[in-house]
Amino acid sequence: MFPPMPLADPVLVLADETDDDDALAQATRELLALARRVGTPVLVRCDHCRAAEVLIDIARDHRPRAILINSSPANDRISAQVAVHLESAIATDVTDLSFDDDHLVAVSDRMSSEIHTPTSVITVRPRNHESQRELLLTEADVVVAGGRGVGSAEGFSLLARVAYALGGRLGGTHTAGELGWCPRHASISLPGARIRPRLYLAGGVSGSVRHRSAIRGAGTVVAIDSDPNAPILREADFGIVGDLHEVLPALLDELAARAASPPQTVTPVPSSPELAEA
Amino acid sequence: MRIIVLIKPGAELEDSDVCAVEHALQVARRRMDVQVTLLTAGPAECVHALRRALALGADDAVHVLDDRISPYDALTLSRVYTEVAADLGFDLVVCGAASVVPNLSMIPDMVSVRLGTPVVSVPARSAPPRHPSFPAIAEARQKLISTRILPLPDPAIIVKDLPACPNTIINVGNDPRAAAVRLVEFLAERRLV
Amino acid sequence: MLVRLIIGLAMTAAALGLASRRLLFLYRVGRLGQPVDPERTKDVGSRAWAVLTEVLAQRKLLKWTVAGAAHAAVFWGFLILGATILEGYGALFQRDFHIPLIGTDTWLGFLEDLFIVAVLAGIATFAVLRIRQSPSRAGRSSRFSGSHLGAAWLVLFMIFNVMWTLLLYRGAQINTGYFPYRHGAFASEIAAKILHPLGHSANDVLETVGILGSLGVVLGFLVLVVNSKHLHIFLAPFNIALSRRPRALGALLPVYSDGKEVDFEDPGEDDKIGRGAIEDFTWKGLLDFSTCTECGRCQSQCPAWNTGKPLSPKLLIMGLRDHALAKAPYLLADSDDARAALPEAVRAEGERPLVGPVADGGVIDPDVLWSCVTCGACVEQCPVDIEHVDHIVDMRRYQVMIESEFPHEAQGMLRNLERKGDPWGRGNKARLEWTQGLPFEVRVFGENGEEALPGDVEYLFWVGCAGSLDDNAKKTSRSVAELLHEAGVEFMILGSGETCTGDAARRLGQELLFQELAKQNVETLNEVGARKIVVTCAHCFNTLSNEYPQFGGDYEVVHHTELLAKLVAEGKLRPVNDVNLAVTYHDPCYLGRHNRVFSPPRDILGSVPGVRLTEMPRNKERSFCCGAGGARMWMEETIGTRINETRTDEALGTEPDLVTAACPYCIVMLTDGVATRKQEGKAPENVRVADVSEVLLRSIQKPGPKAVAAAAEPAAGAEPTPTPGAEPAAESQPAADLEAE
Repeated sequence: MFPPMPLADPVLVLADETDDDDALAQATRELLALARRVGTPVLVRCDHCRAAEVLIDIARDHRPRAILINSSPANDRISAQVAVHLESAIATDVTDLSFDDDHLVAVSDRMSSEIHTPTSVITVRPRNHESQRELLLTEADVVVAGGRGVGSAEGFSLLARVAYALGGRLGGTHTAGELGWCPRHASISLPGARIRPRLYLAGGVSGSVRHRSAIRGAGTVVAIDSDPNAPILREADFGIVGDLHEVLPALLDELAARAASPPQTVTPVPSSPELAEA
Repeated sequence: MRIIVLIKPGAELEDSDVCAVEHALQVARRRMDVQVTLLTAGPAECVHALRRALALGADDAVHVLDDRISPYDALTLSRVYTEVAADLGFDLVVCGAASVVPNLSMIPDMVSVRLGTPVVSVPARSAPPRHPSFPAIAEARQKLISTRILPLPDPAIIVKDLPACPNTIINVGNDPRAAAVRLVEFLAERRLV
Repeated sequence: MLVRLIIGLAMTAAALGLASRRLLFLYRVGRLGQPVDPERTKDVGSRAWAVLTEVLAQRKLLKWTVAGAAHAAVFWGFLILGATILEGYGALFQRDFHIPLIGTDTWLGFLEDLFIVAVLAGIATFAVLRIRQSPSRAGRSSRFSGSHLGAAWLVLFMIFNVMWTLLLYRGAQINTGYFPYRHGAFASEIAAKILHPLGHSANDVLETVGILGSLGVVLGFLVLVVNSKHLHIFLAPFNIALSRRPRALGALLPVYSDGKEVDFEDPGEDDKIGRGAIEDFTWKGLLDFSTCTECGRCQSQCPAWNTGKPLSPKLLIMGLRDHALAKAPYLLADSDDARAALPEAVRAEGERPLVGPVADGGVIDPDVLWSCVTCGACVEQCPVDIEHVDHIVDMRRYQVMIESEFPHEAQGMLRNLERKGDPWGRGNKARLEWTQGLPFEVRVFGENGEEALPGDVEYLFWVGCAGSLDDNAKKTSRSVAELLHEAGVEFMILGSGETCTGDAARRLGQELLFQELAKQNVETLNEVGARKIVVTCAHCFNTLSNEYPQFGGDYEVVHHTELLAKLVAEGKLRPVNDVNLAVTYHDPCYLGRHNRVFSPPRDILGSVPGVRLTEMPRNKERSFCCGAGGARMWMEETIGTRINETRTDEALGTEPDLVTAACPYCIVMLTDGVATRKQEGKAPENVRVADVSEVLLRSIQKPGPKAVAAAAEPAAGAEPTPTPGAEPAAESQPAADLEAE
């Protein structure tokens, strides 16, 4: 019932339900690109009510290295069913895959995991997920904050635009709160708001210990500060030494340009994904 | 009636697990005959998290003692939880939805699939959990934590922290645009834009 | 005469009856309290000395010159004029009575009259003070704000009545010829001259009226006293004798229940943790409340009250006293039936929560309880040695450990302490970061496999959480390390072996966590064989030196300012560079008031060439808190104005280039304050905040880039050479950039 499948390292990719024959959803194309790194992508399109069943059946027959599924509350249930029935390891929020010493390696924000089961379920958080501006600062996935280095309340409007562009929430340091540049309740400090976003971007924040304490739960930290000795730069995954009033406008332009045309290098449209339709 | 609360491995009790315990206790408060049993798996240090959860008001705990179990291995953990829960017998299984540990957010779904029954998945509140009172802590010292040892398969997943992912520091100099481009590339690589 | 005797004795019987009924009631209220800790009754000598100095010599009252002198006059007047009461009663029985042996001596007559005048002058002063500092004029800033003003005026009026009736009968006695003194009683003689023209029979009547009036007023006064804040006349000596000696500052007491320390590992069934109801206080606590004179000295010093917060130590104590007395009938009722028969108001009082929102009938509002910075300014000032801070912490203990009710933001600190052993949750691996970049190796215990401190190590340097992790405090740690190195003092640090001393947890009321941390640290310190410890944090200093002995940790603990001042005095450190700085010094509460280290930091500053020290108006014992003590560092400050900004303004008032302190918490708070004021344009851009040690280091380091290399060389015995004419102005940027956020 399935089309014949090449045997070289198949990697199953669950297609998004919104996909139609002509245009694949951006999220699906990204999954395919990721699958290509470790094998031959096989796109599985089916009614998601039966997706788990279908994936399990295909996997039992073809022993794929991995099964890639975009994460969402509904899809997570599918991932769980597949993983349990195939007794395969599961790795969530994966950003990169590679193959190394007979093991699949799944990389996420802060760690890499070696998979020790014949097949595995890999879930990927879709990009461009809906902006979370309505979420609380303490629960937001993306937080942008400024400190004394911003220099003025007006400077904070620039940060607000960056927060908007990244789909995140705006906060400030203790000092920014004290100076009235941001609301007191948006002070990221101890005591104050403790945040745990996937991305934290700090502008003009030198990084006192109380501030660093409050961002301990953050995944990726990006810091822009003019002082090369600012403690925040030691904490940052990506640090820029320079004037945020120059860098942030450039960043906004860059983000706008990217939104207008997704660069080809990151999400190549797969030339000929193998389709397994059910 | 027995409610089993699944506690994630580790010495520290996660916020979402606190919420799960509190949720179970709320259910328990409506009936007299409810026993809230905690269930965890992992090394000896997990006892600290269990004592903390017992201080919140749970009745007893089962600890599957195993040094090899990886806290990231949702597959094995879900299996252990399922086996012990099935063995203990239960009317309800409650589990914290999110986790600070990657992969473990899958636990409620996976256990539910294995058990074939729904598992109550409790989202963490943003408000910090209550600090247990001293009498509750003192009482929790007396509560029973029974230890079990199960034959476990080899870990399904082995996690290493990224080899000290070198933090990139760049100097803007005269070219803020170049810095912005590199930043966006970095964010794209981590799937953050 | 007989009438006069009968009236006099009848009055006396009535007054004594009323007074003793009240005193019996008060005694029964006192009996409701828990037993006290056993230390209270030990060390009789120093307790007697305390009564002698604080009661007889009015030591604490005289800290405030005018009010103190007036009080001393009235107090001594009451003692001396006891003789006139004796004379008055004698005259009831025998018209020409005089005190045996000395009763006709000129000096006694003079003394009596002198103190009649002195008391009158005293109460006149009080009246002026009360008018000038009246709450209706000065509002909240008046120390009498919230006190019972009517009762106070009534007391002054009654004292005035005692005095003028005395003069009346003494003057009349002179005219009738029954006065015991022929000379000396100058004021009575003036009264006699005024009364003389009325004639002999009128003076006869006036003599009797005066004596009865005088005794009546005194007896009335007695009844008034036992029913008012003037109870302190009788209670103060006992309260002072039974207070914590030398003062209720420094260490906090362990948690006592039924007079015994609570064992948190194996608590008794009925152990009371902290104070959750008025009857949970000890009888000494109840004595404290009853002794309060409502003078408001505490209130005038309180950082919380002075920045618009609802806490006033005076109002807190008054609230507890009023509640204790109002609830007493409820507590004294021996059966439920008796309780049910009590008036509605008393039963309602019995149901009031000790701590709860005022709107819900709470006696002490949570905002009051959690505003306290435990700075001890109230305890320092209290003329009758009330232990405000202990009571506040005891109530916090109940709220935290039994009710789990406390400002939720403090949970962040508690969780970090529990999980990572420091308030910011950085973990003990981060505790060595501050040593990076020092021009010499800091010796870390255990790095070379030591099992005990090596013999050549003189001091264990306890770096503390802030000293290891906070960016400003790290600079202090580095300065101190460099100075010790420079002076040739061998020291070692514990590195990752350190854990928070638990000060913040204890002052928050989380005694359980404090004890866990304390026991862990004492175990570590005893294992390494620490004897002499130097610390930079005033809070660590207090905990290590005063509180760890409660857990078997007895060490000789010095603050870095003490050690550095000693090294300067011994010539081992020679400040030579002219730093050319206008400096002011902020006394950290836990270094100064709590531990009496006032002069070493000032000695250090005084030894540095070019330091121009200007004291703030509130300094030493009266220093105003920075706002971080009592775990307030870890809570939001949402009510009133900021304590740290108030103190910063005071510091900026001295027009300094550099604001110094000797505690990392103070430095954080003052740095914040200065930054805010700079942003508002209210402080010059050049003002910095730094630890005293950084000033010393600047003066010791040789100027120029060779400093690092020179310090790195093992230049044993080499003295730093002054460089005359070396451009001191170029060096005048004080400690490096101190802003951090």
